[in-house]
Amino acid sequence: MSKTMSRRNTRFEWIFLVFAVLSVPASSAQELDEPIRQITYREAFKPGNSMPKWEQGYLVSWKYDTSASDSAENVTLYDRDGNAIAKTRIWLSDASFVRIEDATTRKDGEVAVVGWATTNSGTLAAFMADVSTARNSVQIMRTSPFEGRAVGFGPDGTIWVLGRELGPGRGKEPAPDHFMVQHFGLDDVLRDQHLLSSDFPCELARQINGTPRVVASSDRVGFFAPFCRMWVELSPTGEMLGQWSWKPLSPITNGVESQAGVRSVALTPANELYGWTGWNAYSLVRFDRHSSRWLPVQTDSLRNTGAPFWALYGIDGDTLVYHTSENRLAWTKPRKLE
Amino acid sequence: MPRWTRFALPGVIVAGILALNVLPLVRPKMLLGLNGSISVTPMKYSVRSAAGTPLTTIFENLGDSRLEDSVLVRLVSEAKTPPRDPCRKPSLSKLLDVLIPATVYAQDCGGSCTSHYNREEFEPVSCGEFTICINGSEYDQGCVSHLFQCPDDSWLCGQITCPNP
Repeated sequence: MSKTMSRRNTRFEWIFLVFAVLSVPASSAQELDEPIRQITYREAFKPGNSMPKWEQGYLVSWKYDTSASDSAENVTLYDRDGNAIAKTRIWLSDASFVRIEDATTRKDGEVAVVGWATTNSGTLAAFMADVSTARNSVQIMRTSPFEGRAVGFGPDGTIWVLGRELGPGRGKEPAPDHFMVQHFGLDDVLRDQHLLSSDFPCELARQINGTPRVVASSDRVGFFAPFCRMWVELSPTGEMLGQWSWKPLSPITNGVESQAGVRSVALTPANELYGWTGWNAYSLVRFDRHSSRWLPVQTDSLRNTGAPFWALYGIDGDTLVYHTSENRLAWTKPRKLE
Repeated sequence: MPRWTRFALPGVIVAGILALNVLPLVRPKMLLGLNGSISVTPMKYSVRSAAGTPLTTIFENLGDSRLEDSVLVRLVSEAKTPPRDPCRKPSLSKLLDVLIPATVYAQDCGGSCTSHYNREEFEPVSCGEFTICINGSEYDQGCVSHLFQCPDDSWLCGQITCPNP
């Protein structure tokens, strides 16, 4: 990083720090403990891959784009010891290209994937795939014109998809009013739909400012919308439990948060929502639903442990799973500051 | 070359292609198989509509949603070879310096990077608003979760914005 950028970074970090410290009640401040464990996942990090996700005791990693000539597997499941335990190639007959937008896993190793595929002539079909490692089967559900951008399993094992519809000409004309969430039952059939786009100020599934996410705890399903800076919670049966929005964490330039912004989230079983801001200092934050504010979580203590905090990958029980140096994941517990 | 090989060779190639199209799954036990060999188990595929109606292919009776040829060609090309342009730059800061006085920011972290593809081309959002073009390459500003590994084994990461044209 050049000196110019370093100085700029330092200045913004400092401003963010001052703002954060002045605005956080001391009793709610948290920091991360030293890592409990660290495991190398060398194969999970490859050019062309997505940032992996830690879900339900597995790390799921996928390749974004696959062409017909690429015969390698594009979705891999790893166990907590770093071993690849399942690999599959998501592909569709008559396709010339497949994009995987998001993937997630369940306790039993079932994997859900959302993406889209095109033919040689450019015809595009969006899908949700339910991959059963136990039954050696892939159930593909065509969702077009709805296109999933994020997928997650609910507390009852059903599949929730956050997505969008594009208007005619792939968005050259406005999209008709549509539901932004699709909910599939255990039989993979569409069960119900939620969150009408006209009820919201913007498309929740837009992949700008961060990565949309669908995450669940034991009693709810949450939808993270980075472009809208919104968090929405539904009960497992689809009742609205609440929705929150927050102010930009940094100045908006060209429609996006120009420095810090919450890029991704993870939800604990106790419904604590953590976010990753993708910025140097205080890149881990915790959401205070009462004030609709993100509170910094101290990660300084990890700097001298050889496992600095880089990015939040998920939750494992009451521990956070984060990406650290040398292609490793580390597990750590947040605790209240004295 | 013996005459019979003219017929056998294409047969082997076709069989290979068919085998590759059988969607494989590597099971845990298989990864630990004898001599470290990896077995491949065929996966059963079924395609249905969201309402559960069986479909022959996912593209059945679809026609309205279509990508432009130029976009498709580029997607397929980049799927074969994910570009590493950002990593060929001496450093991320060098890449960013090119854009000054554009509004530029980067995330000094592992695991997330600029995307290689201007996703907004799928939608009629002004490219200038959300993308940059350096040496003919466009980088998405919006996707923080793409990975680019640099030669020094670090991961390039960041988001980049540029001014409106």
